[in-house]
Amino acid sequence: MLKLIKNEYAKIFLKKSTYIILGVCLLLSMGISMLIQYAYNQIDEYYYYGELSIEEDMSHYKNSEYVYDQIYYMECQMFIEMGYEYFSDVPSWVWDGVSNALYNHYAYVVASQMENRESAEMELGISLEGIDVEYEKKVSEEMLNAIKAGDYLVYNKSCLAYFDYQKENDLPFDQVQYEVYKYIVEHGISPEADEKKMFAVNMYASAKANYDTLTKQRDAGENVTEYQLEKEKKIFTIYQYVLDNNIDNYLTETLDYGDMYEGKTESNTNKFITAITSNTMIGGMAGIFVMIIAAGIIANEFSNGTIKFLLINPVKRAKIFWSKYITCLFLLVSSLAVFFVVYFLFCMLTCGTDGLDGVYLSYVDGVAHEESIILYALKQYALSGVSLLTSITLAFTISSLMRSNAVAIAISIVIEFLGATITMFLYEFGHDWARYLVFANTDLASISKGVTLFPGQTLGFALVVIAIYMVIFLLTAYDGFKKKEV
Amino acid sequence: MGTALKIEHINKSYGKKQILHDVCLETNTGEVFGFLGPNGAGKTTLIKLIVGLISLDEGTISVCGHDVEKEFEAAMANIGGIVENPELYKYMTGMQNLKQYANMRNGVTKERIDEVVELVGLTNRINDKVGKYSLGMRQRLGLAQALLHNPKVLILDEPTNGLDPAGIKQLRDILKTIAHKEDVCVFVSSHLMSEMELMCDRVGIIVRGTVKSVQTIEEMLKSIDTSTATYLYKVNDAEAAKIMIGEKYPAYEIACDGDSEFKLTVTAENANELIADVNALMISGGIRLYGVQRQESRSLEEAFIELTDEGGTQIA
Ligand SMILES: Nc1ncnc2c1ncn2[C@@H]1O[C@H](COP(=O)(O)OP(=O)(O)OP(=O)(O)O)[C@@H](O)[C@H]1O
Ligand SMILES: [Mg+2]
Repeated sequence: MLKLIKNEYAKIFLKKSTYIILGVCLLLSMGISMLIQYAYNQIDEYYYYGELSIEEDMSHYKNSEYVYDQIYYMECQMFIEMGYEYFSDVPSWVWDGVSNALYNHYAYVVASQMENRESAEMELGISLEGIDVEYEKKVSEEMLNAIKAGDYLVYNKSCLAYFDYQKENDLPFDQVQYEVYKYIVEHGISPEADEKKMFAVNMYASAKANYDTLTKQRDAGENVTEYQLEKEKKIFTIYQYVLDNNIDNYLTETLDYGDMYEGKTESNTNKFITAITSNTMIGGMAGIFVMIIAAGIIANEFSNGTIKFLLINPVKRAKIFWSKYITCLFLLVSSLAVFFVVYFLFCMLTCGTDGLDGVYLSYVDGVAHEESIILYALKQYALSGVSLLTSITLAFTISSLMRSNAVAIAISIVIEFLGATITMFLYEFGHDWARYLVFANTDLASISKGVTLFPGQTLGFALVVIAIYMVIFLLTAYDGFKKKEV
Repeated sequence: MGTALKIEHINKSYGKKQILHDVCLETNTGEVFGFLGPNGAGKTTLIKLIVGLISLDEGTISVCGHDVEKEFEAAMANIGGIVENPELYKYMTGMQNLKQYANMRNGVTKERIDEVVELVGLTNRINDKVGKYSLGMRQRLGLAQALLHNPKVLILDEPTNGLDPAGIKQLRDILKTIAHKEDVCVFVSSHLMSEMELMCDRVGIIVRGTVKSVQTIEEMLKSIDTSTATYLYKVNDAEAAKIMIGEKYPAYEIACDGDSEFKLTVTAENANELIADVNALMISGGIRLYGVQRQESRSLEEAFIELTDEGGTQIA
């Protein structure tokens, strides 16, 4: 059997076209992921690095009669005073702080000085009723002074003080922001030093605040589901873990959508982590390479007439059949490995090695669980390999039945790409039986996270469905091959 | 000498069309067996059945005592062959091709491969890509492939196809040597009687899926019409000679062929004496006798064509 597999390998790798297909698949996979990364970066730059001159921008608002614009003008003036020339130079906490001081506090002062108070109130979306304007003025000045002095901690302290004042006077206040300020003041975080941390602090604080609110609501007898609570708990547990352990680069997900929230560097994403975990495309291209081989492994023998010389050997057809299939499996595993390694190096090359020490954080039984991001990426990649296994088996089956590799390649690639869409349509039109289709079960990476198209699909169910399809495919192919008149 | 192939009561149809009708054949080791039939007679079909490429409808085939269907591997271990054209992996070299087949058979050493390559005369080109081979070279490589594992039965479907005259002669010698010295059964199909005559010990003739006869070459030669003998005469006046002989021996058949040649047919039994009498008659009658030549008796080729010619020129 080993010798037969060796033979199959020779047949594949003595052919020049194999290398051409391999090269094309590798290039395509790298090229596409490069394009995707490029697109991401473009979006980032668009949002965060617009090279807009402050002076030029503010000139448009100088003589505006709108209160809002006047405050914006003041904001810009502040930036200029602090010595910033472009918006992109302004650190985000400075921007947030100045906006906070001006729109949330100084706005009352401005409105109170207006002739037409009511329209000003309307425009700014505030109400002067019951507001201590003098106090608001004091608070805003305190904040602005702290910001001008570049003292983040003092700024946060004054924010917190204001919230305490609101709390004392039974005024409504922002629970989430309160938690954020509290955390920052208590832990002495500075934004320049720990910009990555800010994201986590925000995530932590908001989830914690939501959790507390929900708990209170539940205690008060309101209808709060366990799921809602669990979701918030999951988020703050994970981010607390991030903060406690000073984790720089990480990846995690929320309970409901499987959305990714990434540890931030400059713009909330570590490029390496994003790249290395978006590897479905890479696996897919490795799959297409093996699919092309699998589609030809029997069909080519027929089209070249070599099948006669293959079958007159003292080897049972069954052995030849299985050795060909096993060759495809080996080839799948080894090309997945090769593609991953190449992609890994490619990611290090294009995204830097900053995220190499990154971790994946998951929430298991109430505690945060940490694993290497590379290991996680590999696991996801391996899971996507299972769906490839079915496509390859299908290609192999078609090729053994049709004697035509072109047809086999075409059908399997169409199914590979359209299978998911087809099940989606069936689902949309209410055909629940579509859950028994193989394509509804091949996205194991999502299913393992509980993200499924049909409700209540489990990993076990998916694996059983895949196994049944594989057995059917293979038996059909085997039967066809054994009975074939050559 | 032992039984190599034992084919019993084979029927085979493709769809509704029956190709082979109750075929029975037995061949022995140590002989070259020719399997002769016109295009579409079912030669390739029978060969495919023997090597298990297609399945039997009815009947049994065994190779050196092993049933082809029930003990496929044991049966095939005794068979080497070429079916139809020698279609091998074009993108591999001859050597790489042979290694493929060596891997699938037991006990083929590197030395054996070299030996076989030498035997078929491909030593100089064995490391070239098969895609660059000529038909004859591929035929030789196919033969090398078939011989690799020293099979007891060698099955070749029209092996001379594409070979040059020297190659054909070489092949003939190789096959004869293998059969007679190494006690192998060589089973060769062909539609050329002349070819069979030169290399086969026995010949089976198949016409439209039915085996018509199985005979040794000697038996065949004997069986064809040898009751008469024909002589070609060269004389100065064929017409005068014809009249002269016709008067004295009216039973003889005479056919003029131009002014100076005629053919004379007499009973084969003591033909020499009869001809001597005719010669004496002509010389005494004043005819100038330039030469007499005995014509080859009707050839095997003609006999074969006659045997297979039932349906005219159309393929069955
Ligand atoms: N795969 C097939 N399907 C249907 N009919 C077939 C098939 N293969 C062969 N035949 C038919 O079987 C008959 C015998 O074909 P076969 O190839 O055995 O002839 P052959 O004796 O080898 O002829 P040739 O001298 O031309 O090689 C022919 O009438 C042919 O049309
Ligand atoms: Mg033929």
